[in-house]
Amino acid sequence: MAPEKPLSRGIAIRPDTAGRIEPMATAVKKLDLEVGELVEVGGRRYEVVPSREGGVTLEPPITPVSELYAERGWKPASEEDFERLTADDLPPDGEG
Amino acid sequence: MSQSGEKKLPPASVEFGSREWVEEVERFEPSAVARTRAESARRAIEAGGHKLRWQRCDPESDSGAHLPGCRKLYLPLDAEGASAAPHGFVFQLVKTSDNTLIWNFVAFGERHPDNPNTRTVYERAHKRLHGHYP
Repeated sequence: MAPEKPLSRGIAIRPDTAGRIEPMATAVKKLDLEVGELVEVGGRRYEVVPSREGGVTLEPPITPVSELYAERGWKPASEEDFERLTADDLPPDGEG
Repeated sequence: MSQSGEKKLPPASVEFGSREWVEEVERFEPSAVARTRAESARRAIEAGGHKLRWQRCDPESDSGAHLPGCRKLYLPLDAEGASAAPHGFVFQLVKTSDNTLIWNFVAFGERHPDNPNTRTVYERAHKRLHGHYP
């Protein structure tokens, strides 16, 4: 018998001996998650974040600078230092 | 001299932290255009000698991103005009434990992604600075 091939999320197909393909439901693992929580799938971590449609989605995490800088003993520079170091920069262009 | 009359500080070096780099750049496949473009730009920045077109980030922008203390570079670094540079790096000015000022790399990504579900480089920078998307 041929091995099962995943067709899409939550569905697998199993070729039968006559060559026809029959849908075979697979168990769906439901997760009750809130924004900010981390999950690990296949050794990779994902963060629960708001989707643009108002729901939630999973994305690879972005470690906040508060955590990174605490580990390194860093802190954001003062506005005065920023002003003095960017005096020759191009001005903001309004996009971000 | 700056407008405030204070002496201009010597330039700060650019730092690419390993965790930031993994999360921002190595999320792409090794052969992806975005990743090779970021890697090439990093090599050029670290090698020095390349005229960099630094630009201040908007403290507040229409996208809702709030990026105080940040500046950016458009990629490719040698693109002729902003429209030819679809990606960007964002850096934040940071004071280290020995009081050295550095530009810390905080985000890489598309400036104007075609896919509406893709976060812009500014949204990613906001998330890293504030812990949530704008």
